[in-house]
Amino acid sequence: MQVFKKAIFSIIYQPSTITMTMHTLAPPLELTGLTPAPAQVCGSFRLVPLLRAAPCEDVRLTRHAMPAGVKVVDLPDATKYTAFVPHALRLSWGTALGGQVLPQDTAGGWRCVEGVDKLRKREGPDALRFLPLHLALEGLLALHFSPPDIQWAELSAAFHRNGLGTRSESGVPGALLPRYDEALRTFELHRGQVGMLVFVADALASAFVVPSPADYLPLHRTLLGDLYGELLLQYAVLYPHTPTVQATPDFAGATSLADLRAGLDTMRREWADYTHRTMLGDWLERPLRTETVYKPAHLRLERFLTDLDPTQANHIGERLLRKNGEVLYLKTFHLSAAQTRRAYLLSQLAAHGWNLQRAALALNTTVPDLIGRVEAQGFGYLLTQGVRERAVKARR
Amino acid sequence: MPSPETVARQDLLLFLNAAFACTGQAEFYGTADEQRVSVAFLHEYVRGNYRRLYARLLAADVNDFNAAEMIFGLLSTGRETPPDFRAEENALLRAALQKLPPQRVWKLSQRLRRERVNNRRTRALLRDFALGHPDLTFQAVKYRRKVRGAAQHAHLRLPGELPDFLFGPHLGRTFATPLLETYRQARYSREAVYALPYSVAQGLAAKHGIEPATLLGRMEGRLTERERLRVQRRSGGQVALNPERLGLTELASYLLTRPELGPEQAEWLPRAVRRVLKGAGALALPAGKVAAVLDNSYSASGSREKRSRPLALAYAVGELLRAGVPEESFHAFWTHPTPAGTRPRARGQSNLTERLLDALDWGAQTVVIVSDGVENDPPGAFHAALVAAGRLVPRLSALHFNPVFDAEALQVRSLSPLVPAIGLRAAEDLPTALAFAQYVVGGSGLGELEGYLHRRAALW
Repeated sequence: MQVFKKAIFSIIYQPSTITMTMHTLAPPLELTGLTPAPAQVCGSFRLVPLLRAAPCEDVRLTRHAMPAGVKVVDLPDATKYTAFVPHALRLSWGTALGGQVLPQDTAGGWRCVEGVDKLRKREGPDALRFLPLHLALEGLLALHFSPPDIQWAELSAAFHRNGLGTRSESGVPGALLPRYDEALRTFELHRGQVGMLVFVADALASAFVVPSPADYLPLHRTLLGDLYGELLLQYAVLYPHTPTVQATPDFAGATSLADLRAGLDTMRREWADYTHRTMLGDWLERPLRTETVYKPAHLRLERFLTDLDPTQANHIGERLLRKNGEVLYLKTFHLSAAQTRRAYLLSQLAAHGWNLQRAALALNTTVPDLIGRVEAQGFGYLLTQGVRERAVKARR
Repeated sequence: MPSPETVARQDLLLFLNAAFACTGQAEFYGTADEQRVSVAFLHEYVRGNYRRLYARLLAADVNDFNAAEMIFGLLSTGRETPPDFRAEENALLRAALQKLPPQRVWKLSQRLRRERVNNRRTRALLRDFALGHPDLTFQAVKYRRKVRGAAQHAHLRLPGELPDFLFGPHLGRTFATPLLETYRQARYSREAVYALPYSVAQGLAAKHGIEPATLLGRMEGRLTERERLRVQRRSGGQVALNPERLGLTELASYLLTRPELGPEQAEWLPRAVRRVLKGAGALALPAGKVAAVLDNSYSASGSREKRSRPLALAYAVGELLRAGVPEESFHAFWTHPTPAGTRPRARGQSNLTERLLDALDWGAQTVVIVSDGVENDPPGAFHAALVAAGRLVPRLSALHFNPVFDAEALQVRSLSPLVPAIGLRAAEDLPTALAFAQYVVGGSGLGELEGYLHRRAALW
């Protein structure tokens, strides 16, 4: 029996107010400005390279010289964010950009807990340091963190005082996914590749996009250190082989070599189309909830969350967009079913101002059952003891 | 259902191609263990079903790794040899053992000892090899442990002072044989170390605290060609390389590692190519324009054990064809084009179909492909394009040479069922491989193939 060590990220409240996050509704995710190329398969992994249509010359994303380790970040609203951070990125923008890459950091391992100044830190007039993926993860943890405006009697005093108090979730480091390192090692990078869609057993594990091919090359291997949803570890173990999808080009009617070349181009277009429509599943129809976290120059750095439909796979992520919607940076995280359920329950309760009767009605259930669900998801401490005991009796 | 003849022919070709390409070392897509397990299965399968043919394949220029594997297999299953074939098999084994480089033979003897294969035939073979060796004293010094093991295993009566050297105490005595005496002295004397073979001296140098650079400087004249190649980077230009004595692919591998080529180094490869062509005669290629589609995708970077081997092979094959085909009727198409005069680098995806179309646009009638057979941009398009091109281009022929054995599929991977891949380990074997290709692609019967192998065995 192999024991897997999960990576846990958590957020701890310290007295202050928490602002509500990710409340802006946005249209579904689009890979504007990006073209998927044919996938490469290794074990349970299907890796889809993403190519950029027009080269990006004014934005760079490079590795920041921050050693890996457990970091504690003081957030502006006096909460603390704790997580294992494998690497940080440095976003720089402006027109006169050289191809400078900072020296690689040395891996520090799990040696000490280190304080980091901010999740996003301005470095000079045209640069920003941030912790990739942790923008999105922090957004997930801070979701509906604050207590309701009305002091309902059913809710515990601690909830009214501190909000959720402490909230933690966990994921799996990429290095634990069997054969993922091999899949990344044997992956043949495309010329002009700026991103990658990682599928495990044909479920989207993560999408990763950077501004330019020169940025992608040194960051390719960082995919191994990133965090992935727990379900993907099960998928990688249970389905060790993914069949290769082979498109057969239609050359039957070709009467010249030019026709063959045109056929090949058609095939490439169909590949891109297939990736968009079939492999990405319902991504293109799911509305997002977004929150802009930074506005460097004419760009917009935001984190997002899919609609938390408990019957579907849900993702959180962060992205950097141009005004015209071109995706310059993207990183997503696959939520496990339990993580989705927790976030969904919180969002439903928050939507009804923590009024249990109204929330139960909306969820098509009774108040005692709703309380049972709240307890099952680990949020029992938000309710008073008396309410919980009465609910247990009522359920009998 | 296919006839037994067809099956036998397929099995034979499958095995031969694997035996040409596989060296039991790690490849880009697989580990060394996977390669060894996979190829060992092929050996066992062919040996069990077609023993006579299998033994005759020893003469078919399979690579040294596989030849040693075959000798081991045949020796360890001697009981299965038909009585009327015994004499021929013995002769084949003897000749194959003579053809192996000595280090391979000693390694084989070690394996025979470890796996307890010790029949009369094995002992006789080892005896004939050891006692028939022109310089057994040198071998005994350079491969001391292995020669000792072989002598014990095969009950050898070694000549002269060798038994004392290998088995007796070295303390308080001297040897009359100069090399043996040098080895004895090297335990105590720094100067004697420099008179030993380099690999032996390396071990003793540590004992005397001699710096590796000093050792290399003093022994420069005594290094073998392979040793010179091995220490090139370390020596910092101190050790000269003799390109005349290196194989074409080795040379190409070395040149690919150089940051820049001097005017003299730039001449090395063309000269090596001319030497190969002079030895082999004209290349057996169909008339008309010839295009080479050469794979320099990232997978051509090989593994840590075979660094850039597929790329070096493609590079050398390209140069060989350039010299072997009239100038205006040859063109090389790298999957990622390199500017004229520069050396290729292993980068990017495998877009072989695009290059095939480029080659056909240029007017090629014969397309020679050197690739590991993994196509991913887009996968599966090559076959369809080749089928369609077959209708459009009259007398189109394609040949696929593959330097990589695919352990999972138990064969060298083909890009299309129309073009069965041919295993190729070294570019200098290309002329032979081209002749062999006629039997692979041409759909000739088992009889013709056997006839071809028989003729090669006779030449051997």
